[in-house]
Amino acid sequence: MQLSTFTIRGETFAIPALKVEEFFRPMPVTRVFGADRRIDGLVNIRGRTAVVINMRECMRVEPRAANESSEMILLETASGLVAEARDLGLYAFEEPIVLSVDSISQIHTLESDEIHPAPAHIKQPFVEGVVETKTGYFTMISIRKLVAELLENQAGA
Amino acid sequence: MITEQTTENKFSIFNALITNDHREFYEKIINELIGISPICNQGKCTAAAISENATEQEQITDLMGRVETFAAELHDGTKNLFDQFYLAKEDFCRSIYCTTAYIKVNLIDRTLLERTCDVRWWAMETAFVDCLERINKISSKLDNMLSELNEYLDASKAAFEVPTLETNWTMKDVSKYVDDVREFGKRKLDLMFNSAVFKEFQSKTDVLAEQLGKGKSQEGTLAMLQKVLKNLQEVHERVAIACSRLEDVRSSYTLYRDLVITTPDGIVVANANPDTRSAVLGATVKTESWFKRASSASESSQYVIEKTNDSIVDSANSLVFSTLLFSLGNAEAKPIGLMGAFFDLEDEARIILDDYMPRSEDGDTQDGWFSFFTDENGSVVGSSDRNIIAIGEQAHLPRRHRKLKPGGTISSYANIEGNNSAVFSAMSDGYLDFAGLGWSSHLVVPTGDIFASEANCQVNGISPDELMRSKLIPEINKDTYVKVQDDKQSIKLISLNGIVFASKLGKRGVALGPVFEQITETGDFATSKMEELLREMAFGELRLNLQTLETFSKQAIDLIDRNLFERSAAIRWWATDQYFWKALTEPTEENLQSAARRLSDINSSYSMYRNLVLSNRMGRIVAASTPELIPDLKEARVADHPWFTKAMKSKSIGEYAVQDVGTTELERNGRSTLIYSGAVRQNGLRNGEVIGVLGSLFDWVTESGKILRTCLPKDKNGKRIQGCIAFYANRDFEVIETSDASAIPLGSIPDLPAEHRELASGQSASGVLRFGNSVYIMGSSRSKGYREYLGLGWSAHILRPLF
Repeated sequence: MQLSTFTIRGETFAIPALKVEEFFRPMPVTRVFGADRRIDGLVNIRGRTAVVINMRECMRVEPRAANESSEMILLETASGLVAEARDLGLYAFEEPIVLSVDSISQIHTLESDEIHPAPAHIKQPFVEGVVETKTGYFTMISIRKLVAELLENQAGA
Repeated sequence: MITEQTTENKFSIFNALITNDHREFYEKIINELIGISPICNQGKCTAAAISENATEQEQITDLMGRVETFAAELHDGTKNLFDQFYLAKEDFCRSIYCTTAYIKVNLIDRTLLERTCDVRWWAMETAFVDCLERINKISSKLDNMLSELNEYLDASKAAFEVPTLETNWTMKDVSKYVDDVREFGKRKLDLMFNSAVFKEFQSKTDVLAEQLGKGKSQEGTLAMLQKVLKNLQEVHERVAIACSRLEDVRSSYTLYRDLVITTPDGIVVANANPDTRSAVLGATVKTESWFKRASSASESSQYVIEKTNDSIVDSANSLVFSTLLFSLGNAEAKPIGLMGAFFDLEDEARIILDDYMPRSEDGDTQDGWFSFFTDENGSVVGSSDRNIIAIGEQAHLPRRHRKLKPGGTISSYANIEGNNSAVFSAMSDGYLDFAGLGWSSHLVVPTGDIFASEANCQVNGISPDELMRSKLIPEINKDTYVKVQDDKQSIKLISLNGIVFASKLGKRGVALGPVFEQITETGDFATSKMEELLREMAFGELRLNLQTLETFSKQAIDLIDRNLFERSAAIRWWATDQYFWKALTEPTEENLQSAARRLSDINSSYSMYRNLVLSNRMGRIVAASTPELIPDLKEARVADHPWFTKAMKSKSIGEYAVQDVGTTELERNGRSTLIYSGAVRQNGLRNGEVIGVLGSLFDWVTESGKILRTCLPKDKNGKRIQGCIAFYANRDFEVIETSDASAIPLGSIPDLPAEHRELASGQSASGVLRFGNSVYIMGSSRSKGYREYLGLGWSAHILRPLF
């Protein structure tokens, strides 16, 4: 399996590459009044409206300074998911979702022995596992759990 | 000897200026980028092979097309970047080194201006005028006297040859003694100016007089002998006084090789250098060009400057400042003589030319670096290496460097004495009311030193990214930096999207993977190399800026040292003035008034003194040039002031004392001054008892402020760069003058880094300074004094803001 990695304040995270529709530069975001602080707002990608999720806020680290750059990842929607992804049981939302990250790193081809389950002391439900590479570890996260938690939170409020 | 080279304005890898490092660098980037095209073609072929779906194929082909466009853009970008790199460096070096060349010729102009003041001032010295008046008078009578004497001698001789009752016949023959004396009759000049000859004459005369005394009726001859002796005696006394005054001048102003007073027809009657005196006095300078020019100059021209290196007075390379002397208060009359001051050009040029030159480890100037002056005809008048650029020869310079306009600068590449060099020239535009001599200053720098690699350059206290954002970096470089980072991102996103796209094709897409990986790698390589080059550029810019600030701080401290040297020379000389020792010896109302008038005369010929004061040995001010500036003149007591006590303790003339910048009771409103002082001695004698002190209150605030402002950095168009600060600190690092009192207040002690505090005399340093919330770069230089003026341990600091 191939993973797409990105960084949030120097930490590396990964999601399956097949869940990615496209990487792109940051574009102007329209703020949504009253939305959760983890939602930056809405963007228009070639006529489709997508919700932008701020990964820094999700990870509870300080916001980006004005001179720090960012990049965006557009996730595949359920209808766009290729057969191989469905075979792997990957989940996709019906609506387009964009992740706002510090920087997109690379496409990593996963060897089977590299992935470990999340250590017990990690409480965050969206952490799916830890990937060990020659240069260090990175965290596999589940967008579904991340967004589900976000939605629950919204419902509660 | 020289081949002029033209500068390519567009980047070419074949330009000789491009360093080997950069050539390698450039080739690597270009090779990588050239490799992109086949990869993209391979990608397009692969797309056709793996998919029959037209949309899919188009998507891949489109991606490949975008990669190719970026590669081409990067290719151009790299060329532009190198272009920018070399042009920026050239530009910067041109500004630094042309400024340095100009500073050098400007230093000469400033010194020469002071010299023109000197010679005009000395021309009014009574001792010289008195001496010339008497000598001219005696000299004109002496021919007659000597021939009359000879007649008497002949008569005496004859009288002794014929023994009569009147003569003592036992002393039949005095002819030997008469002849001994008679011989001197043709040696008028020797008798007047050669003390050995005069002594010999005296002793021969004594012997003859004794012999004649034994005879009878010799009174006429004896009286004539006495008359000649008396007149000659007076000449020698006057000459001794004039010589002694000239020596006083020379021991106060050490930049003269000699000073001479001549009669209108060129006979040297007095000089300042005791070592050459016996050869110089009585000699004639009638045929020397400086004398001819000075004596034929119109009487209204105050001085004449002429180069010489073969004068009978001194054979070294000198500039003679000469002026006509007139009877005091009678400038319309015919000149009574002429004064010539031999300024030590060789030594002065050496001091200036050796400065601002990089040294190798053994302390010698680095090879390939030359600094020299040429006169209005293009011949070399001073050289940092006279074995290669010989004095008196025509300088081997490109034509345009020989045709500068006053104040103009120029630079070009040329082959100078076998080295590929850059030549920077600046022509003098004089200083204040001194028009200059039309000289030019040239600085030769090896090309390799200008374009030396900055790759390993590091400056403590600043990161490359911070530096990249600073004001130092030209907008064009910042823009390029942003563009490179942008390209880097574009390439990355294109290839990552490509890989994701390929992975979605499943097994079919596997073949595309390596294509995109290759693109990522190439893109990363090219952009990171370009970033490296931009950082190197930034550090190069920083290093040159630091060098500029060092140059300016050095100029600031040199200018103040030279200015203060002049003050120390002037006070030494004035302290010997007869008006002052007369007033102190006999403090009558009349004498005190003449002393005060003299002080005021002196002060009115200079602009840099607040006041000149004369104190008696008890520390009471008895005369002042500007008494109204002193808050309470009658009550003013200076007995415990450092300028007074130090001068009272001095051993001989040629010594001075100084009181560092600070407030004094002699100034209203607590204004800061710097006080120079010299002891006034009994009868103006060299080792006479100290009978009082002459003090000069230097207008520190005005003068130092003026100099600091001239040393503030300017941009290419000569406009002052905003936010720069210049200040002087004393030996305790207390600020004694500042161009920006709100940022660096007077009297404060700024927290300077150790390498800026612990400078040895004459040393410079530069670096990054964090000061409150601001970041500056700073250049600092410690005083090295000038000639025997040791300086006061001060330092000059120039700051330029980074943000």
